[in-house]
Amino acid sequence: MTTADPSPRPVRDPSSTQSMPKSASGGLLGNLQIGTKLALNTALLLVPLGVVVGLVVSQQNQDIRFAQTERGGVTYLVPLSNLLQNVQKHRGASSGLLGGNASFKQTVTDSAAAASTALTQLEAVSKSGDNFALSADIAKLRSDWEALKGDVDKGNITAAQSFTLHTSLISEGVLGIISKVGNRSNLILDPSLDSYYTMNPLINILPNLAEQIGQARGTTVRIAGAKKLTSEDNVNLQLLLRQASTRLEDLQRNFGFAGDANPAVKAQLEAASKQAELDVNGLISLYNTQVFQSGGIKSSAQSLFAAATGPLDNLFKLYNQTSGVLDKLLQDRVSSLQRNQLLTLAFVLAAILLALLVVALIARSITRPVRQLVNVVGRVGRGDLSQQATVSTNDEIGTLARQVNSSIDLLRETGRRNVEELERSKQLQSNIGEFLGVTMDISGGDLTKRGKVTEDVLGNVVDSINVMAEELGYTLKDVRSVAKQVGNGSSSVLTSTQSITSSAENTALATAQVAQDVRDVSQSISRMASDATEASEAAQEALEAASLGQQAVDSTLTGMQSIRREVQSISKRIKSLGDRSLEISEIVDTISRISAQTNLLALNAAIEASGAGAAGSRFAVVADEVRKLAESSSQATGRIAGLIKTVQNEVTEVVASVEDGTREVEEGYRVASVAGERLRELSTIAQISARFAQQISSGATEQVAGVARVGEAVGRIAQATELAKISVLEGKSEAEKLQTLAGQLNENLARFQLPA
Amino acid sequence: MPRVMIIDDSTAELKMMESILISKSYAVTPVLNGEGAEEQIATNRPDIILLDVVMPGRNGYEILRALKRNPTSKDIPVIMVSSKGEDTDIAWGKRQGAVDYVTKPYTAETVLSTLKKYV
Repeated sequence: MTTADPSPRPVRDPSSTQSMPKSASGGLLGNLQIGTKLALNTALLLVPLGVVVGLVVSQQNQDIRFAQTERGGVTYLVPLSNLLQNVQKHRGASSGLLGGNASFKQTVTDSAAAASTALTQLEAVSKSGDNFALSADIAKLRSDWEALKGDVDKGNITAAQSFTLHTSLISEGVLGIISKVGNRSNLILDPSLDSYYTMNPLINILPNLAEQIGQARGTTVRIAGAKKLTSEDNVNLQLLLRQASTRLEDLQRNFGFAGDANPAVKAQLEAASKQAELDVNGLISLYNTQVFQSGGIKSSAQSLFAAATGPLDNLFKLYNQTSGVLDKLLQDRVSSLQRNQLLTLAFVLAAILLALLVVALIARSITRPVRQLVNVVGRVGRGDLSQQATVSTNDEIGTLARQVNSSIDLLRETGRRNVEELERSKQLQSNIGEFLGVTMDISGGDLTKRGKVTEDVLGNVVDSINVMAEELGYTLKDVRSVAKQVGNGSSSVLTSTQSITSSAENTALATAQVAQDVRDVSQSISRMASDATEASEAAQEALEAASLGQQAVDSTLTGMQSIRREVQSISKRIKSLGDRSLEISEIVDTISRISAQTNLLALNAAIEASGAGAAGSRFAVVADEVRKLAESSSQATGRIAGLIKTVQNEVTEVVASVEDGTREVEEGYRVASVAGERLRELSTIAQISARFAQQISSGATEQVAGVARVGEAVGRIAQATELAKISVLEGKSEAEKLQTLAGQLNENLARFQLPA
Repeated sequence: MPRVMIIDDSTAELKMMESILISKSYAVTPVLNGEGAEEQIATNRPDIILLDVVMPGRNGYEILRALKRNPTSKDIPVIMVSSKGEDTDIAWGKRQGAVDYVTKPYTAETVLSTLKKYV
């Protein structure tokens, strides 16, 4: 944004975290897949675990190596104890030998050889196993031994010198090496109680104990050789023995601790310590009897040597046995440590595998739904809304999936509505297009065209245009008919102005004519007056004639009335004649019926008679006579009927002619009365005529005056006619203009097609 | 019984409306597409007319205007019955002279209660 900010604000530090793009922190991690991230998580967690396991294993290895080194140290112990044993023997024997006792010679030789063997063994052990940096020490020991052995063999040194040299060789060489072995092979640091208290006797106690007893042996040998016990020797020996006792107690205590710590070795060590106790205490008591009692040393050097050598050899046997026990203990420890290590490794491996499995399952439970969702959403992105997420877990992914599904539904719904809307708008567009065509036609002049009213919003617009076109059409139709009427009207106006003009001219002629006629009329009126007078006189005569005639008519009427009365009575008598004849006719009918029945009876009688035989034949004759009678009776009645008919006919004719006569009389009566009426009317008319004639006569005079006035009026008419003619001509030009306009209007309307 | 004329372009619609009306004792004159409506009015004058709007040929508004112009039929109340149901459609129909308006789809109750107001 480069626009100036009108309200001053504190400037933001561009390096503040707010403005840092968020993607920076997730850049590296953001590019990894979820599965990879989870795997990375697991791997990272495995690292400290691995470190810990590594440390544990390394510690275990350390412990194993420690124990193995100890075992390496233990391998030195037996050669060293053998060496100590034999060097001690050599010392004692040499002391005796160099003191002048040749019986020790064999012992010197044997022990020298044994010592050399032990030394060789020691050297071999040093070469083959752990060196413990003792090569120099061992080499020095070897050279010192060889020198000492040579000196003893050569007899170069005194007994005392030999003893001192032996002692220093033992203490510096052998015991020194034992001590160094103990230190450098970790034996001295043994961590277990049982092996420690087995080792401690071997490294510290037993060698020293043996040495003290050895020194005691040597001293006693020397004392025996000298045959006297100096107070120095006494003190030294006592000291040695006391030291040995203390050492023995230590030994017993150590073995006790070891036995307590490990019941498996308890019995062996107890037995060992018991034996050691016996040996040492036995020796001490022996020395007490044989050396320390006053009275001098009675025993020989040999016996004193032998007295100490037994316990000493036992001690060395004990030593070697204990060394074996220690080695076994160490071996067991190594095995156990190794076993533990394997178990630990196996357990850890199993635990890791199990954990990895669970982690993998959990990871899958995350990645699989996520992948499915990614797939579905990917499809949606490409436009495929047909798939739904099928994830149904209850975690955030499940919630997300449900949201995605409802979004897909919404999209589908929207898409469908969009399609519908598109359809609707397409339809609307097409309707609009159609309608625009119609409006173009309407504007082109065809006012009969109508747009189609459709379902959509356009429908009403179309109908409003339709209404407009309709109304316009009707209006224009009216206009057109009015125009036509105007056109017609103005034509007829023109025609009538023409006729008016011509009739005005006619009127002018006519008025002239009228003036003439007026004069004629005046004359004829005068003539009329005189004629009227004559008519009055004639009327008077007519009146008189009429009254005479009236009298004649009256008498005629009276005569006709009497004739009518006579005729009416004749007619009445004739009618009664007719009635009589009718009565006769009825009687005749009766007779006729009777004769017919008689005839029938006679016939029946004849039939019966024919059946009756001879008696009947007479009856038959009678019956036949009766039948003949009936027949002639019916003939007679027939003739009578005929006569009556004739009479009736003649009566009817007479009646008819009488009625004719009556009618004619009536007619004459009517005519006479009409004539009488006419005569009366005539007289009335004559009277009236006479009056009229009088009036005419008097009126005629007035007429003449009136006619003169008429003449004047006619003159005025002529003037008016002239004026009318002028205004008619003006009207004509107006009518012509109107006609032209009407024609123009029609032309304008011609281009419209209008409704019928 | 009062007579109702119904004008529609669908025979189905005519039948349906007819059945509703006959069940309520109205006499019914159905006229398909409004053809011959004027003749029917002249011979058998209805008391009220139900008129559809969108039809082929003459549409409802045209027929309504023709009815209102004709002195024999201009007093017969006309109710428009149409699926065009916007306010503008209703106002336009009433402007043209209809007395009321029923939108499709309709319920029988609506039609009958609207009819009752004018018959």
